[in-house]
Amino acid sequence: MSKQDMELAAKVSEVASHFPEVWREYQDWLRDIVSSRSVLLQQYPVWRAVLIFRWRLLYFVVYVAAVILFNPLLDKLKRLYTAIGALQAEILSEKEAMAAGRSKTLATQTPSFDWYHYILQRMATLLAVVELTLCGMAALTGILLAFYYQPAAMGAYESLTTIVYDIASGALIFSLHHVAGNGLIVLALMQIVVMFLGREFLLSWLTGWISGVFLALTAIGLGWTAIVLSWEQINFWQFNLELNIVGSIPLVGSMLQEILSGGDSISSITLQHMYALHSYLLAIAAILLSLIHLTALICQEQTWKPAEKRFRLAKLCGGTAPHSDTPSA
Amino acid sequence: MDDQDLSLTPNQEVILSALRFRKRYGLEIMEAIEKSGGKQIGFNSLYPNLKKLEKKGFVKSEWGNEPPEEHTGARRKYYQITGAGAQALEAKQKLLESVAHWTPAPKGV
Repeated sequence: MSKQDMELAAKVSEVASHFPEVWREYQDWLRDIVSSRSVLLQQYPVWRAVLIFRWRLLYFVVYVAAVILFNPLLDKLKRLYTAIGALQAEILSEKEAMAAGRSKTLATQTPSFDWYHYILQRMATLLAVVELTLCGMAALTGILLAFYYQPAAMGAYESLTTIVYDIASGALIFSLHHVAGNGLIVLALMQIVVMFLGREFLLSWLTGWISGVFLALTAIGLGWTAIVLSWEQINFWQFNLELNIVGSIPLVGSMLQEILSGGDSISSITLQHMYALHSYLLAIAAILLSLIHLTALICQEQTWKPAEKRFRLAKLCGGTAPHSDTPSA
Repeated sequence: MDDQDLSLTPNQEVILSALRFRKRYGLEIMEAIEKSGGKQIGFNSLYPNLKKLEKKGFVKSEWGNEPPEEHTGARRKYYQITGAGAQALEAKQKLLESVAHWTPAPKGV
């Protein structure tokens, strides 16, 4: 038994010595484990001494392995965290410098860096405007569709057919609703990428970033709840499949499936549930989120402008903001 | 030095106390604590704590003169308290003293 234990310790030392830095740091621990073995044998029965010895060896191995694996990772994370902090401070200070009227000088010093972030910021704002427009368009066409749409198993397909074929401009309204919904998903996802590239997920852009992410999720939710509304074969079975996927979520899956479908299978109740979620909850959330998103981005954009050109609420309300340059009457 | 974190956990305090007057190796530290009637510190706690103390600059280590262990080739390391370590220990003891002497302010005059 003694020989086996020593062989085990020798193997551990052999493996650990492949990592010179860690071995240099921790070899005294292993030496003391081995040295303490004789004391253990004096104090305890052999089986217990062996157990304690092996436990100590195992703990040593696990600890050293964790040091080998995680220390470089932790170092990298620390470096990354420091770099992000430095970058954030750099961006903020440069923005402040630009706002103070030194934009031209800065632009000539570091043109690519400044322009890169400036263009991405403008693009994000532009995308937010388009998203709000699409939301408005989807809401307007949705209201028009709701005039004729019947959220019931027996009436959904017929009512949509009536809208497309019999109602004046019905096909156009239906198509616009479709395009606006899908466009919103695409643009919201694009917006996330644009904001990510522009580092617009840092603390100062938190409102814009979070509202953007939630807007994308809401847009996807709108698309998902609309699947079953047309009550066509393909969409029905697609929804059935996806509802089963929802049902397979651990713990809450079956309950969620029941809430969404309003029973054991897809029926008129399901249609009404989806219609309510689509038209009231998610549609209103999408409009609110796109408004918050655009407002946040417009506010963020102000930091690029000189102080006198910044947007002020007082100006909008009709009152002239006090300015040191304006001559008094 | 003034703004250095001098906080110590109970185990670190005991380990530093064991190193206060002489340099010792790991097993000896454990033995010193155990034989003095202190709460036994296991292998699994001693060495990580020693490394933490070393990182904080409270102890420094040096290789012993003993030959490497025959099976593993591992060498012995001796730990010694530093000035910062002594300062941390003193700060901890002062804190305990001031806690013991603290009295509530008289209520109502």
